[in-house]
Amino acid sequence: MDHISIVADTLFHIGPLPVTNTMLTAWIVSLGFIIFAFIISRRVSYIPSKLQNFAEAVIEIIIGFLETIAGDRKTAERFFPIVATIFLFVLASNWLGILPGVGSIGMHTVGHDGHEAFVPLFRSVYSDLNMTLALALIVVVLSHVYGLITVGVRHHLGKFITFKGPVLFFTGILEIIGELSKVISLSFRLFGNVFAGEVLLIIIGSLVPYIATIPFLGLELFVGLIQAAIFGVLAMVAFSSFTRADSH
Amino acid sequence: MEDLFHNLGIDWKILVAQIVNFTILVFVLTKFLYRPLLGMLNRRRDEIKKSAEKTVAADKLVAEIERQKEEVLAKARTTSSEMIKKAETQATGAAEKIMTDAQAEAKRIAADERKKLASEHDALMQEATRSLGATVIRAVEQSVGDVLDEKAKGKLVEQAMQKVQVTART
Repeated sequence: MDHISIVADTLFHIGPLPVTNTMLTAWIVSLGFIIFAFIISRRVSYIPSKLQNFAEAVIEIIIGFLETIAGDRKTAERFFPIVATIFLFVLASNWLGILPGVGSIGMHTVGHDGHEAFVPLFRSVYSDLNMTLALALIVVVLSHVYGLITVGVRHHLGKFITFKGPVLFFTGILEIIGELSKVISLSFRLFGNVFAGEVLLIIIGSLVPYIATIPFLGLELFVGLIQAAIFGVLAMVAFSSFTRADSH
Repeated sequence: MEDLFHNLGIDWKILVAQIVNFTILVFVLTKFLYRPLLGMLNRRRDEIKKSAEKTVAADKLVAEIERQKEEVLAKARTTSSEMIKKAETQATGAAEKIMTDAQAEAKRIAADERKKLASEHDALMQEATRSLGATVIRAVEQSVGDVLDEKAKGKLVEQAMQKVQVTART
């Protein structure tokens, strides 16, 4: 049976930076998107090619969905780049995680305890808490930056720190705790789902190889899509809620 | 807390690296993918909207032109039927006048021809009478010779000429 670990394995170091297998997978996913973006940008035309048509369809679906959350197209377009990148990156990372080779191609190394262990070269990006935490921090910090820019420092901070009354003061404290818990909930939800999926696939694959894993692979595809959508929606809600003057 | 982070594998260097990675990705995708494609989508949407508005305006214009055409056609139909009626009336009048004139002309020509024939006939008869008269005079002079005097010869010639004239008239 494969080695199951919460912590991602370090493959090598670039200076002081340990490069883990999840990080390598994230770089590959990013590189894929960057190459795709360069290819598209060189061929953008009024009459779209098949590839441009596909990209436009994806963008139109995402922006249409964001419009239903934000209420208007202008707000949807404002937050579209960050939310769409979150959705697409999480989706691609989740789906890449169940491809053959991810988790199975690797090398045998000798650990600190002297035992030889198998280290996979690639691992599903969001089965590493560092990755989900980074994304959650980006969302929460950016939501406050957008809030500060849109409604102003005084109004935005007034939602958290207020001395207008004891009830409002404690509400502000609860809001601060809520923001901290938002980071934890966002990161652990995605991590929990993806990591559980990984573990489930490893266990099923070990118990009944080949056929039995197929339904679970389908389930993981679905979970990957749902988790990407949830993260994107929650990010959009966080951004748009702080940019409304009447938000609490 | 440090133990918790260690057990969960949280490393601030990896966190920062991932944040940087994601920021670069957002930047590149925004510059090379989202902005050009959103621009293109918005441009296409605007042009479709403009085209739809133009189509509505064109439809209205076509309807207005159609209405004006029907109006002009109706007017033209009325005018043309009036003109046809007028022309028919004028043509009928002209035809009747032409017929009347033609009949009058025919009568006039016939009368003229009759007059001409009568005058030619009279001239011929006079010529014939003259010629016959001269023949009668010669015949009387030759047949009676010197038997009768000039007075009797003249009377005889006169009587013969009267008979010739009566005969010629009948």
